[in-house]
Amino acid sequence: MASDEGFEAFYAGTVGRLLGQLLPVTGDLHEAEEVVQEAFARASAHWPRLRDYDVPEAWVRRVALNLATDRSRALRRQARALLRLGPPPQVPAASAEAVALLAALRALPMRQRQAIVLHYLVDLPIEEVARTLGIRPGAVKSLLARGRRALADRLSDAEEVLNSP
Amino acid sequence: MIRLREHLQELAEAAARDGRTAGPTAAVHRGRQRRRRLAGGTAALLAAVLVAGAVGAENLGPGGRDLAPASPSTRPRFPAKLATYTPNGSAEAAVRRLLTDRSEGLGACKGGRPGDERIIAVGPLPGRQGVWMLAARPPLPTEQGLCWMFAYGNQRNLGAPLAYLGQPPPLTSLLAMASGDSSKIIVEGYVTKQAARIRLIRGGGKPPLDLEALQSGSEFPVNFFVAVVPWRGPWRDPKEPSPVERLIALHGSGQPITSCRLDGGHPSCGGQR
Repeated sequence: MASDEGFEAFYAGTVGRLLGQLLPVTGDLHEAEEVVQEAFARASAHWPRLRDYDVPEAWVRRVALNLATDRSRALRRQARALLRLGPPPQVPAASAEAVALLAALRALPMRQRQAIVLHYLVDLPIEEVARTLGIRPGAVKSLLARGRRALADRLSDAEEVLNSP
Repeated sequence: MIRLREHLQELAEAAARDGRTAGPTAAVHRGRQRRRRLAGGTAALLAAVLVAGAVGAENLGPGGRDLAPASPSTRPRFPAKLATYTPNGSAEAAVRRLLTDRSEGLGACKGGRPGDERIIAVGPLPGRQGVWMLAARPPLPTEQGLCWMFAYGNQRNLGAPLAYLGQPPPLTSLLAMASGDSSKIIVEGYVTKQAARIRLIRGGGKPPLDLEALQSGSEFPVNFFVAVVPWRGPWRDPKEPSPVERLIALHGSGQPITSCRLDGGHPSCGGQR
């Protein structure tokens, strides 16, 4: 019923970018790998139709974001039990500032993280972020403002975070 | 200095560099396993529809039923018999999971009351290939979009259940999407309630086909339609004319209301999710 033609090239061309976008959302590289791979698995099931989309990558990103939300709820429950025993979060090799930013992002609610990533990393306009998250543009602006403020509280140079356009 | 965009970009590049996934073949394998799990629900649906006698067994015979060629005097024959069906009982839990899945099913679409998923219609695929199912959630009075999804499959496989992720676009008077394989073309969508029929204009000089809109009831602002056309040949062969080029929504009198193109032309039927 399904044909995989073109899926491999699509995967190869987008997996790295999606991993990069999901890392700041999940806060953990293994978790980002897991949700991205699962989103691609679901994309493969829909590939005969998705390949006709203008931007099939956007569909995979949305599914990965939804999966990240679902998994964070489950992980939060597990985390309470593993808080003192669990291994340190997986962080890729990056500058001290970037690692600090990742740690600060982890403390934000999932919705704020998703809005920040979609707007500041994926470069989606406010209206598109709103459509993706299924909320109003005003709510996106509020999420971004609160997210920036929370990041500024946790990071050393508040000015640069608060003034991000 | 904490520069938000710059450091987000740095993290993204590091993840792209250091991240390890199992690769496309593993993704395809995992996708197939998931389809098989979900297909159990389709099997339950098929069994329930057959038991209810809502879809006559003759409709599942080889070749299925073709659409009738369009003519003012011909009453469309497809969908011949349809069921309105609400899944219940543990055997149909997979259908409910499919409908309410929050990552890609109707549960991922923002609109209507959560948990208020309705199966609009179920019908057979030609040649005992299984069933198709169209489901939707009634929108709230203040909403302009509509959450709906279409799935088809059998006991072994499930194809193309796609719902809107996030907020659906504002309603239009005609929206459709098409998919297919070497044995069939499936066109599904919704149409204004003013339309009594939808005409499929086919490529290659083949006669047009008409089908009736599926009545969705007063809680939905539009009616739906599904066409399963038996087909021989590759789906979307760039060297061949598009199997279905265009759709026209028609009043009961036969007057056109609106039209859209499925062959890439303008205005597009715009079914991407």
